[in-house]
Amino acid sequence: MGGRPCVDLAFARDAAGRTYLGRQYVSYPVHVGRALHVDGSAPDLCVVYLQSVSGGLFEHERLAGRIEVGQGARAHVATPASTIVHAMQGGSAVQRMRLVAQPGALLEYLPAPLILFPGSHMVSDTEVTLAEGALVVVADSFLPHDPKGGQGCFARIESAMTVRDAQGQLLARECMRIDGAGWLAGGAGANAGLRMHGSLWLLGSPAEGELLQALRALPVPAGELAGASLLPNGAGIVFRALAGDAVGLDRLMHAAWSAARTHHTGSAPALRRR
Amino acid sequence: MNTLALVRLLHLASPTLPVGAFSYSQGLEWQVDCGAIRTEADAGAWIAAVFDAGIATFELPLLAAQMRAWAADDIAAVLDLNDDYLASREAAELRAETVQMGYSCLQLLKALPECAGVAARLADRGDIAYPTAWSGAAVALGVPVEPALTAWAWAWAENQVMAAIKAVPLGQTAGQRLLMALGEAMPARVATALELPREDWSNFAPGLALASCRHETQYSRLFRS
Repeated sequence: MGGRPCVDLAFARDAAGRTYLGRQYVSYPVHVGRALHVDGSAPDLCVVYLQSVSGGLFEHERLAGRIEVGQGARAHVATPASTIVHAMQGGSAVQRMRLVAQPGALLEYLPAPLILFPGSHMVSDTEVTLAEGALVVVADSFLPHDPKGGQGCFARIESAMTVRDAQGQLLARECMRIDGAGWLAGGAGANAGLRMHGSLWLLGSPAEGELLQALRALPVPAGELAGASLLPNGAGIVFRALAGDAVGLDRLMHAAWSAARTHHTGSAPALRRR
Repeated sequence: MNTLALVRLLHLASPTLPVGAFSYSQGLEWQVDCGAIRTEADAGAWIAAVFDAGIATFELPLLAAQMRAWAADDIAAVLDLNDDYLASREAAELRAETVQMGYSCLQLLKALPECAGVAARLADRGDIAYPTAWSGAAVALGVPVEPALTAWAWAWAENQVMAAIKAVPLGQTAGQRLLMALGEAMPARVATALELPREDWSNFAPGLALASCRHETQYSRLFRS
């Protein structure tokens, strides 16, 4: 995709140690909320919410975004609600996000799950550049939903996560190409019959053994699945969850994020409700 | 394929190849431990799902690409695919598995004059995944790509069925029924894998990833993955 991204944010740290939004460019269909400092446990952390003004993602949309967090800065970027991926007539919606964390930076990029409507085809590509000493937390979740209450399923979802160091060396990767019919049919290798999926990538985590233990100790309700393992090449940890409903998935993902934040900063997140 | 190449292929795909494959279940042992696999049907469903969600759509096309790179003497491409494979392992156990088997395979290739050149090209290149070493050996021994992929898929399925026989446990005849069913689907999967462009490769199998994660802390284990 050529041209400027529809969202381009750069965070920096001021002399007092507070992170601010130093540069922003936003165009349709994205709206960026005012930069906030509303996390009681980390008052220096800059919080920004990205909102869709179009009501979701539609066929033939090609969206690109870039978020960079400067040296020593700390930022939390999220969406206030899930993004609906609407039905399509054979085309797709494409979203590419580039996340760059400079040395010593912390970036939490936690979009709410994509809701895949019947007939939708979503292509999502996230690339993370992780400098020395940087921490990046990325949530990547989706759930199928038929608003008519039937069993209609999405056409296809293609998602890639690529993690590189500052020199461009590949550290970790995941490529997802799945058809809706196969996903809903289940099968243990794919999803054990649970249709809501989430991954939380905890990149650059120091003392990762402790965090791994904390994640593995999280309670997992009966009927749901969750687990964590180290990523290749010392990239960090990935936490994965499968649930039968969106509430269950959200609880698991929130618990993992909270454990990671506590490990990274010493305090659990204390964000005001969106 | 000439008969000698077939002999070499059978050799590479044999469970007697000293690379330690028998010690890995790739999450199947945890599926048994948590009660998700209790029967022949459960085992067959799991193995088929894992095959479709990752082996057929990532490992086989990667193996084909590596064989083509070896044949073109493009070691840079071989190593790029090696790094891609290692970076794509869903859990630490699965990465450790392929690194150990890759190491064992390299030690074997060093000792076989027909494959020593492959071992020399991979020496001092960091961690080598099992497909990287195996694909080099296959090309060095004159094995064509399609039969190689078929043999790789078969060897994987055979190892999974043997793990199920030990872990569930299942009888030998049940194991043979599973292999017949799994084998039925292989020609079509191999044919697709041969033509699958890199941008369509997929290694997304969350059930497998979670089973492997949970296996890492399983209290009692026969298998290393």
